Amino acid sequence: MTTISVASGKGGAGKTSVAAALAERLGPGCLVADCDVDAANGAIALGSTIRERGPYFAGPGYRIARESCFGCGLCGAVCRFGAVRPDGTRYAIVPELCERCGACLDRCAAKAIETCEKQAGELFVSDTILGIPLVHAELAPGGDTSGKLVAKLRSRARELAEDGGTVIVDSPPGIGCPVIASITGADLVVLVVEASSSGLRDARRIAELARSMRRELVAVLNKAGLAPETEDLARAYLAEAGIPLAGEIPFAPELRSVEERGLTWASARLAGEGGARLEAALRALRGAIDAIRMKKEEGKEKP
Amino acid sequence: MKYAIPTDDGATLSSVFGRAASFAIFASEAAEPEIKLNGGAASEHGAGTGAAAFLAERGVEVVVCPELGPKAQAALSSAGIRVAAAKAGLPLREAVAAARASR
Repeated sequence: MTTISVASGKGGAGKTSVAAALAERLGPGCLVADCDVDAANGAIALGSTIRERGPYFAGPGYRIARESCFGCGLCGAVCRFGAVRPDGTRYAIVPELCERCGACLDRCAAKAIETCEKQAGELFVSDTILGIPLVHAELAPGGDTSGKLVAKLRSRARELAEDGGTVIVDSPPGIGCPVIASITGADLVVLVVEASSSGLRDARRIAELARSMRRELVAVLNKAGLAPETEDLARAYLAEAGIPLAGEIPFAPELRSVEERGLTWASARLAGEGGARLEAALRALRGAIDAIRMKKEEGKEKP
Repeated sequence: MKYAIPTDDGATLSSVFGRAASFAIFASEAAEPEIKLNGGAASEHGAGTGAAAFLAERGVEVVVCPELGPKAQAALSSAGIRVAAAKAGLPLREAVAAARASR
């Protein structure tokens, strides 16, 4: 199995669009894991129908045992999140507001606070119109994404992946725990660089992270044409950092309408020079992925 | 030297560190490994730093793994634990040998 993680640092840089287009180009035998659970949109980009669902439990939550509570209110006084509310003569914890810090547990004079499993969301396996399975998740209100959740999604994807298949991981933005969990073990990190100053700055941060984890990187510049000076800086940075630039995806309103029609950029058929650039970028990314897959297969033959 | 190898199946080197199911701890190169469950494998955040603390408390001197997150790297190095790289899927004993050879 080969794992390709699509990351960008900045949100809205085009990770999901690139991941969906690559999935279409790779075709059956590949699988997408949408690990950007705070803004999960792989299911929209790929046109999916849920096939399988299961609960996701984060860590323990807390609740107040009414029969033990004598209504002193120490828990409410110590809670910084306003999650403890009076409930008649006693107190109760509002699960959506609770950050699960456990301060109430330490404070409670009646030892009335107990831990309980808190369902933080749901995990799904879906069928997509491309015939490529999608592993994704949805968080309950107040739930947040975590390395644990990403690790769970990736392990489900591994179970479903075919021998010699490819898993495309759509990473969350940022460089924190869920991102580290998204690029761990990836054979290739596709760095989507948005041609804007924040896009470039965040791309540098994620590139640094991926480098520190010794990941192989390939970049693609997105929204090319929007800010030519910044693009020059981005190209210069990539060249200096030794990160190969697979190509440049033009900033074109048509690409948005393609997605609104439920298609991916792989079947965008843009006219003119923009179309040629998009096609060249997708082909070069495909080539980079194929090269990694071949290298892995060769490695298998001669142990 | 006391070695720790993250492992999911108790026989081979895992591809991950902080979220590995357990750690095989070798008190010396020749010793039989002791398998310790990794209590932090399912923690929401900080699995890597938690695992580093767990191993440091047990006096581990060398960790063998394919890759590490930046915070786990920092935690291990501040605990004076050497990190040796080896390929995921390597049998535990071979991972120890690889770490020894990489000194």
